[in-house]
Amino acid sequence: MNGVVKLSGKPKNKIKLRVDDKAMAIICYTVVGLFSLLCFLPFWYVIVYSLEPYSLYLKQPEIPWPAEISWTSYRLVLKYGLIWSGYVNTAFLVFVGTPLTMTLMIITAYPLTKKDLKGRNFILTLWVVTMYFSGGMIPNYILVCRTLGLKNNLWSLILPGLCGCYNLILMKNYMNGLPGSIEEAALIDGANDLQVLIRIVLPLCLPILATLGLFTIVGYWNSYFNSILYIYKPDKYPLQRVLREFIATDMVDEVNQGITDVSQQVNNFTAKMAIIMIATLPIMCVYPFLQKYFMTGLVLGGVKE
Amino acid sequence: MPVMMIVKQPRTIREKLLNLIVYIIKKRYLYLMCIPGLVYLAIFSYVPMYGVIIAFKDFSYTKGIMASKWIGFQYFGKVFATSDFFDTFRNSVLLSLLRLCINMPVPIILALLVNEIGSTAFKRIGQTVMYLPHFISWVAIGGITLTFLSETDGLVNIVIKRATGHTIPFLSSAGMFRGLIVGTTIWKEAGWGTIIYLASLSAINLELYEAATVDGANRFQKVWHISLPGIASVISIQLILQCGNIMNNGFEQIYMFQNPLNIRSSEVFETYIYKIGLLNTDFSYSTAVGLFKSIVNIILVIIANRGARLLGQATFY
Amino acid sequence: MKRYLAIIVAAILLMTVWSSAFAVYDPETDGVSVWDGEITTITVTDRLPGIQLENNPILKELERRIGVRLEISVLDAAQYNSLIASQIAAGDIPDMFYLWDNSSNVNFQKWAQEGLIWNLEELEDKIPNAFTWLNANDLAYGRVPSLDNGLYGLPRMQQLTPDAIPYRGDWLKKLGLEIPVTPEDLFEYCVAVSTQDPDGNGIDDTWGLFITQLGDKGGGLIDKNIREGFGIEPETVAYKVIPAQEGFMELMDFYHDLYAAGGIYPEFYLESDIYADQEAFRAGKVGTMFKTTSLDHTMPYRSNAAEAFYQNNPDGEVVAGYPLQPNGTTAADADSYFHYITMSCWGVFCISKAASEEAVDAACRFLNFGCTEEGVHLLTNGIEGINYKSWDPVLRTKVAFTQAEKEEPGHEERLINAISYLCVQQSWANYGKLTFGGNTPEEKAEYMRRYNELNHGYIVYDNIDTYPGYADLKTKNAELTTKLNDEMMVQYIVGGITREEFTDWLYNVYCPAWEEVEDIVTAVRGPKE
Repeated sequence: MNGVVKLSGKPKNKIKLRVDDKAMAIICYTVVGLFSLLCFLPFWYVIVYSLEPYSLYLKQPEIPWPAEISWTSYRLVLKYGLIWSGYVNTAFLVFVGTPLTMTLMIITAYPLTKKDLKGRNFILTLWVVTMYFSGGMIPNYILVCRTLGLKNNLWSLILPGLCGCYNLILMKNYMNGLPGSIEEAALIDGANDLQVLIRIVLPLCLPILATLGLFTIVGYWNSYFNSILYIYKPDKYPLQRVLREFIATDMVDEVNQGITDVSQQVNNFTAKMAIIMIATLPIMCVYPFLQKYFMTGLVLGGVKE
Repeated sequence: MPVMMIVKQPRTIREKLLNLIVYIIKKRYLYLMCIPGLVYLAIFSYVPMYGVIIAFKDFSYTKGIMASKWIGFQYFGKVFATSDFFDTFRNSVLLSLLRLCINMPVPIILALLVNEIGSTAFKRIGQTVMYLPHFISWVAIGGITLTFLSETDGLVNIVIKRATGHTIPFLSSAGMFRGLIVGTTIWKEAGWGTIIYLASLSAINLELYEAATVDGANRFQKVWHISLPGIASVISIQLILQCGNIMNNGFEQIYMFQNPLNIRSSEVFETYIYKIGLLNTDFSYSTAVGLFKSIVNIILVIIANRGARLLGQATFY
Repeated sequence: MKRYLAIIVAAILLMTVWSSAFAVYDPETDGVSVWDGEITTITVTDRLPGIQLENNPILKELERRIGVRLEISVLDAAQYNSLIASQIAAGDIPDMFYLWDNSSNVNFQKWAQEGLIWNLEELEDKIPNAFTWLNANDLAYGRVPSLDNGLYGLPRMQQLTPDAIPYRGDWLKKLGLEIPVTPEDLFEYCVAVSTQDPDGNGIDDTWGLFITQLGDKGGGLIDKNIREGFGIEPETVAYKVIPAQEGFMELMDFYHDLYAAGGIYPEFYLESDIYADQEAFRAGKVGTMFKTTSLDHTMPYRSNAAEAFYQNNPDGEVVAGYPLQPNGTTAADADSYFHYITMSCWGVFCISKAASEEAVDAACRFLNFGCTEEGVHLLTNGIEGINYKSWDPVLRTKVAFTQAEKEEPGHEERLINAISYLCVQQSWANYGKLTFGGNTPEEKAEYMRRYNELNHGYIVYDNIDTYPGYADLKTKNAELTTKLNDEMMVQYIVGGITREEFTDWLYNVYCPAWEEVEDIVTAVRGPKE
């Protein structure tokens, strides 16, 4: 497969463009740097708050360093029995759901790029309408839990959302933006549509595949809302639901419950911070693997536009 | 080079049908590829859609959705009849428009700037860090925001007070509410929003940049004339999609920042409905509300799509 | 000789009376019944946030004692009522389920009307304890007056929240003040705490009062611990809603002036966390709060909450004061002042008509068991040695394990919490629960005395929620209530609107909408004397 060469860096003609190079450099480094700092700072405080005892937080919330490190909140959260089942369930969703979603997305998007295909507009309309109209809780419950029998089954978290229209449209548009000449060349050479898709179009789609792959993985990782409707046994909760349950009692009027043993209320501010870390760190590790597809340019050798 | 073809027009229905079958067989792979998606659509989206009717019915548990009594637009009437409805509606729309106008350009600009960064390491770290806020839910972030922005003992205000002698009522002023929402949304989502633009930027042919250098363009001109048009189609699509989301204001975020002092600006459709509590007990009412929102959204999508086509940009279709 | 005999007999009589006052459930000595028949499984849906159901010792013990195995489905806590309604709408009705609301819930009424749930009065012979444990006021929460006034759900009655207001005892001493009795005393205390830096750290970081939970029916702002001080009575006594009573504006003025004097934490309205006031109190930031689940800081043994308090405030001391009395009352006559309580119902249990006969039997057994001392104890507190360390029969509370003890290897079951939502009743038979015992033996004796005399002398009033017609009125005026709670009260307190604006809206918009309440109450109680 020739013709795809990765280049990085910018033109090296230093003499002519030095002034605006510098100007651009100043602007982009400053802006991006500041914004990144702004994003990072609260997150840093989350780390700090999760490590320092609550009393210290109340006394001096501004200090950017834990005066005293205490792992209690992490221990508390990790000792919560449902965390591990939560991880396993979410892992299932991610590893099984993502390939299925990506496959469906690819084969559905490709035909939609062909503007001259008969019925294409109709099919696309069918998809777009579903973005905006849905039947509501009751029919969905009947369908998933009773007709399909998926109550308490992790598949109920994969199948209903298998192909999101939003991602589909992004993929379709990306494919539309690829130069059509290569496909035409392959078709003339006798390849059928399927072979064109797999051998030619897909390799050119790596950036969008990486992007939508990331979106899909994150989507499954954050899976929470569907589990409220379809999952009733705590050991089948995905991770996010487990974590939200952990702090859920916070959101609800429990005062009059007369819970005398306040130690039962394990949700305090520090535990909440620990939960953020536990829920976020693993998914942040996925990103570096996909990062290279976002950063380098592709030169389509062999085809002149 | 256009080729002139003499095409025999099909005269009978049988011939048209035969032509159709030939066409389908010729494009069989494409149609086959559509099928799994359509099956999925049929089962999971269209089968449950009959539930929309609940909005027009007086729901009975024993009769089910189809057999419940039809009452027409009664619930829609209820929606509009609430006394503060227009205030709330105005807040919702204003907030949505603000978010559209301000939150759309920010990821684009950021993506363009990130793309121009020379140092790979800086790029990588910057990007990773920018994505962090996306993963923290509003509920979780609530406590931290309070800690930082509180007038009494918040870090930000302490610094401001030392500098100017006044505190800024970020959280309690009705006037600042919209700014607060837009600002926090940018903080949370702009970084993540750059992903799609960066992916598109990476697909731009580098030879175009080289050609521009030869033509004497400077960095800024390259961004304006090459990078930006290169992602124009993605921008256009994103815009259409955002327009289609205008009625959904992000309930959690607004509920988090809403308090008695800023409620004149902060009461939006979703929070209002939630607080009246009708959603909890009345399926018909909540479906009517949802339907109303969806209809507005889809009208806007159609308008935006039309507009994009007029401007020659990429559209849904 | 006769005299000595008489004294001995008197002593024995006295001791019998004394000990019968404590004749309460003591898990160590009371006998435990065990089921010896077949075990029936029933499906149950409940709202149990954060509870581990696998290998739960309480559920196992329950099975052992009454032969009912509960197959529990858990719905999301925050949207429980709409989720259970969807399930039922889809035709999926569990044998028994819990509804986190009372008879005012529209869906509950529909289920009763459409014959989906049992009228528990038809099952009275299977749930006799429920009808002896609960009185007519309680049962009203499960009745549907619009139908046939049948009992379609078993109300789950809530033990009283402590009728006491906690204060910082060390600060009182330092400021030379007595425990506040009247609103004037409280005012003085709060302002002093805010301005005189009682924790002595040189930073202006203490405030008198912190109030949260504004939205919940007025919540913290109209807490029952402070209402009496302004002459505010329950609706069913005053024949008026609270904002229409005279004392209400007095209360609002009190808050307004206190805020202006700096006695309230300035940004109290920002906190949506309902425990924020307790957290602040524990951190040593505020001098008092109204809503509190328990005053276990004052317990002789310490819970984790008390631990947290003493960690942050090593020299701190918590004392409890009476609910506020009207200005002019002194501590001396506080004892004889009239008190009232309104019971609270936290949900109802329903049995589905579609359940099999065995399932209905089993469900009734469960509910019946739940209305006994044994049942309340098992389901609320758990098993001694597993869910809690030991039981104090006098104070009728449990001593919990410390976090360290919970994490001891080999005792993982200690980390499993007791299922408070599954308990059928969460109160002892005489509604009382002493939750504060004072710091010294004298104080403990004093609290015990007050408890026995006063608590039993409290007059219980029914809640207006159960009066027919009120639920509809509430629905009709839902926006007004939200506006009052979420905007008007706080705006007035912090000075965002003037008194004229507030009273104008209050008396010209809000109160007229509730005039029907008089008729509603009259219909039930008869005309006001």
